Amino acid sequence: MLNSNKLFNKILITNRGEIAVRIIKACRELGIVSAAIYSEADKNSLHVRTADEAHLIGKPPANESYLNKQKIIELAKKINADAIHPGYGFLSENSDFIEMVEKSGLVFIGPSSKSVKMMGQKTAARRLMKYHNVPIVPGTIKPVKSIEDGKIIASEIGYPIMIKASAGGGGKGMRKVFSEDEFESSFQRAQNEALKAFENPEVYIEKLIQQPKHIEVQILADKHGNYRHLFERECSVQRRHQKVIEEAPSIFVDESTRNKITAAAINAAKACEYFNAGTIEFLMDKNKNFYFLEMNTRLQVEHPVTELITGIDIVKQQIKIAAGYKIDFAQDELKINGHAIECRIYAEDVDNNFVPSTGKITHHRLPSGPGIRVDRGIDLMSEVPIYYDPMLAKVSAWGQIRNEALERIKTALSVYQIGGVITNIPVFNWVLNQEVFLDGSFDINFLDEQFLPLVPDKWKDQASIQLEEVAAVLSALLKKSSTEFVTTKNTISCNNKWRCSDDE
Amino acid sequence: MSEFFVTINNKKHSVKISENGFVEINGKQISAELTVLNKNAFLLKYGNKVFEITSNQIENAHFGLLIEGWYFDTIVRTRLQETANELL
Repeated sequence: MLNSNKLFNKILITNRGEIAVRIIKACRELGIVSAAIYSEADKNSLHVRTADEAHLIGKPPANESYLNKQKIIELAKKINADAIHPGYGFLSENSDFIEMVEKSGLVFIGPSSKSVKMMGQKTAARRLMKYHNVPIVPGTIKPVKSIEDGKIIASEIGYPIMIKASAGGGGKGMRKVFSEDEFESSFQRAQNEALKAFENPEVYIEKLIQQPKHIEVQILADKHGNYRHLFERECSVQRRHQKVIEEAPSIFVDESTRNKITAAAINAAKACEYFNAGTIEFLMDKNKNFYFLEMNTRLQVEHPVTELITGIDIVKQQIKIAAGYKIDFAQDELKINGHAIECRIYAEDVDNNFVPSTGKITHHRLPSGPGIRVDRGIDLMSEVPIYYDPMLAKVSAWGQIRNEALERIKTALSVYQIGGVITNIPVFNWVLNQEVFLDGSFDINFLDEQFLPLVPDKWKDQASIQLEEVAAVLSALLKKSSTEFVTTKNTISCNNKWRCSDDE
Repeated sequence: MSEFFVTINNKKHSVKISENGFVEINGKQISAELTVLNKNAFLLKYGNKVFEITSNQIENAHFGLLIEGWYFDTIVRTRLQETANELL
């Protein structure tokens, strides 16, 4: 039951990690009780301790906990929650779940199940976009039925082409094909992958856009027909289709292109009668032609960079919109203020084929300083379990210009210390110093073509050699000091000229 | 002057520490100033750059160090220990 003075009394957050913590903060600012769910693997997680209340939902595997639709809805009713915030991933784009929420009388903090369904099937979405004059990559707007049909279509479009899963996303069921010789095997592989990943073997064909950039537009829409865009983000730094670094605005997008792409994004949202926060993803070629890729009908991981350049709290807007409020700012009130960059910190062993690194966080020292924001799901003694995505935190930096944001994020990453698991922090030192990143000429193949061939070892540059010297010097100093330091219960003093302090 | 041999990833570094705030690493002299933040956290001013370092003492002379996201496993020996180790 809604309280007339509040948006909602209680929101059940059906997610974990940093995004659950982020939503809890928004609830707290709005005076809403936050209720978290957690699996047995997450009982000591930060989101469990941060929420006003937390409820065990099941065993560690996601399908027994964070994906258990029926149990989640039963819990929401039992604890008298008014609304459910799904975060991203898990059930956030599951139209069946959203429909169950709608039918249960609870409010889903996100779009309608109808909109999610419309945009969930890629070929259906492409048809819808074409009908509403949103540019799509040349190709089919219906699934391709056979290899023979596919070969005819591919030769009409012209190689190279992409075969993509109709129900797809995240790079699964996707194959680049450069000639007819490769078509048959690629088609079969894409179908098999699509069936395995999405329980749907349907694929379609698109022209392969060479060296594209990934540009996406954040939109907000309320239930009263008001649509706003919050400008674009560039997410071209990806490893095997997974975003690693995001920034806003894109330095590749000029004002004229921005006007066109944001208008196309609004059209796309209107086409599926969208409300709440959403993102329309585009591929952009060298000539700044852009093509609809897909719509993410949820909050995005990378939403902080948009918040940093617009000053709009997207999560709070989501909650207000779900409660039926109108968007309370006009489009022309929004301005791009400065530049923001985000790096996703993963617990993974880069030199060991990026295998997730699990264990207990034994040390955690956060960066701080002007323009620095850390969205995190961990703290000291948190466990990083094997069951879920190993993203630990997102470090974002804002600056008046891109260079300032870049310098700030480099400094922040150099002092962010996470002990107990291996992280990808050193990779950013490599990426953020590459000429193609600095001048903005990178495309979505940048990491796959330039970084991955250097793994393992070859990507470690001069800086890491200097760090090895630093490690050697500190180790020697510690060894020497161990005989000279006098350690008492709470303080450390020393009897030589090495300076001591105790600031923590 | 104290002399140590530090092994990192099978690579040996010679470190000499003087009492005047300088160290000599692999024959190169550089200023080094250590600030202890707590039992496991240090600031090391190395030349003109400051590094924030976390240290975990695994054994007496065996350290795990975290610097700018990199993890280093280090073993420190005195000259005498190094000679003994080589003889063994």
